[in-house]
Amino acid sequence: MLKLVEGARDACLTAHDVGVLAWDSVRHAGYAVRRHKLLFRQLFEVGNSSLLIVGVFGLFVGLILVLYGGDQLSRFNQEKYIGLTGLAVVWEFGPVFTAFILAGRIGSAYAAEIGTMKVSEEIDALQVMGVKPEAYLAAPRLLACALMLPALVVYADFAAMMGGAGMAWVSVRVAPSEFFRVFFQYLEFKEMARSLIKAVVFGGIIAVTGCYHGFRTTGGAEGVGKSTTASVVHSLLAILVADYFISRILLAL
Amino acid sequence: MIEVRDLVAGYDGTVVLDGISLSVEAREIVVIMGQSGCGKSTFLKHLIGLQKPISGDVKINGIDVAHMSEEDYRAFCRSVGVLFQSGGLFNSMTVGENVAFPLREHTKLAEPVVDIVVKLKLQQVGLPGIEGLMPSALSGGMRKRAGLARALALDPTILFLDEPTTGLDPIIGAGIDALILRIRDIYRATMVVVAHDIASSMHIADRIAIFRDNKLVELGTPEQIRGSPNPYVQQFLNRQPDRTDHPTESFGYLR
Repeated sequence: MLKLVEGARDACLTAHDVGVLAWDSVRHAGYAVRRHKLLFRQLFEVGNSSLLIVGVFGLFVGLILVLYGGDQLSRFNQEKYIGLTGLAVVWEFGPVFTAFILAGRIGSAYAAEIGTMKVSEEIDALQVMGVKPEAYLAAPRLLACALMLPALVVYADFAAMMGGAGMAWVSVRVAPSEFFRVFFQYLEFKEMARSLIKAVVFGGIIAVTGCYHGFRTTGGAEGVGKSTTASVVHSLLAILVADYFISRILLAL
Repeated sequence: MIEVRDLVAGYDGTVVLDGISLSVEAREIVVIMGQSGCGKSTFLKHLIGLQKPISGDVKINGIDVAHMSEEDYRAFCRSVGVLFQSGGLFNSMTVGENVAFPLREHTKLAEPVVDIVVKLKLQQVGLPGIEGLMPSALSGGMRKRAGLARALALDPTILFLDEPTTGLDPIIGAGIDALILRIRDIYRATMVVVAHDIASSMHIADRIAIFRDNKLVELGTPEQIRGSPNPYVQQFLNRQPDRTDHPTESFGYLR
């Protein structure tokens, strides 16, 4: 029981610290914009370097969804509605799985990079030169993730739709034009907006979680490894929890 | 200049510094010595405002370092230079970018002027022409000197140096000692140096503070420290090990 209470207390303290870091990063967003080279480097790192993996991932999500979807719909002779699988991509698969990729690729890199800086006294050096680490390190990363994740989600959605349209033709003989007609007929603007809002929030979660674990790193190389692992695990969990609550809120609006 | 009064500091309920009081006059070099883990680096971190004390205060030029506003702390940082134990260089930047970093953050100097200042500072620490190298390409002594060049970038009036000669060979170490004295004369700077090297400390210090078990046990000029009646100070200066009843007991398995 005591352990449970202590665990709950630690979780509250962690949530508080993460909240403070998130707020500090947002507060210093102006610094990141003024130091545009820092921001562009992060935007490039998050966006450009993730294009291939996100594209391949999106393509295969589209292939798999339509493969199974087509099989199910053909039992009811409703193959013509296979384009509806695209809605699942826009609602969930696009934002959540793209965020998962970035949590593994970018969030872990943030934790490792900042963690290494912490153990080699680079963070202390920043502070004593009058530069807030939250401004110099966390703010550009937060902005980069929050701005690039929606763009990557649209790109992943596009790749998935291409894969889905191709698979629809191969598996259930539905022409790409029919696939896209059904998809766009049922896709609403607010669903697209909902997906992008999720992407912004997930981007923020990935950046703040990665930076938080980086800043908390202690104890050399082993500590950096632990921070990296923790940042990925906590990001994935936080993304799913946030996904549920954002979906509830946005669906209620 | 620097006034520390009844400083108590620690982490997670453990006291690391217990009631330290110490003052450093302008243009004075005070060397902090003591065994590993006695709180020297923690003391330095409190002087530069990286950690907040449990009680007591640290005042530099009459201003409490622990309770400065963000703006005041930024201005304070402009007047101090810090050399970290490992150099503290940013590994993702070249040496030149490292030295230029405080100039770009705190001044509006044009880039050609920044380049000139960087070259000048590197020359002052005896490392001309290495601005294009990455820190990973430098030896231990070069990293410390490059760190010193960065610490000097804004012409500070106070310098904090954490183990500037530890891990260096005697010749490089002596070079850094000479550099510290030259910097004091050129910049008319006040310095607090954390060190292990007894010969080096005796050479550069105006006063030496010896820490033991989280307390300040002796403070005086090198001559006063040499003649101290405190047995711990003499043990420390003469590099004598602690006495134990069974010093080789743990080596029993070798018999």
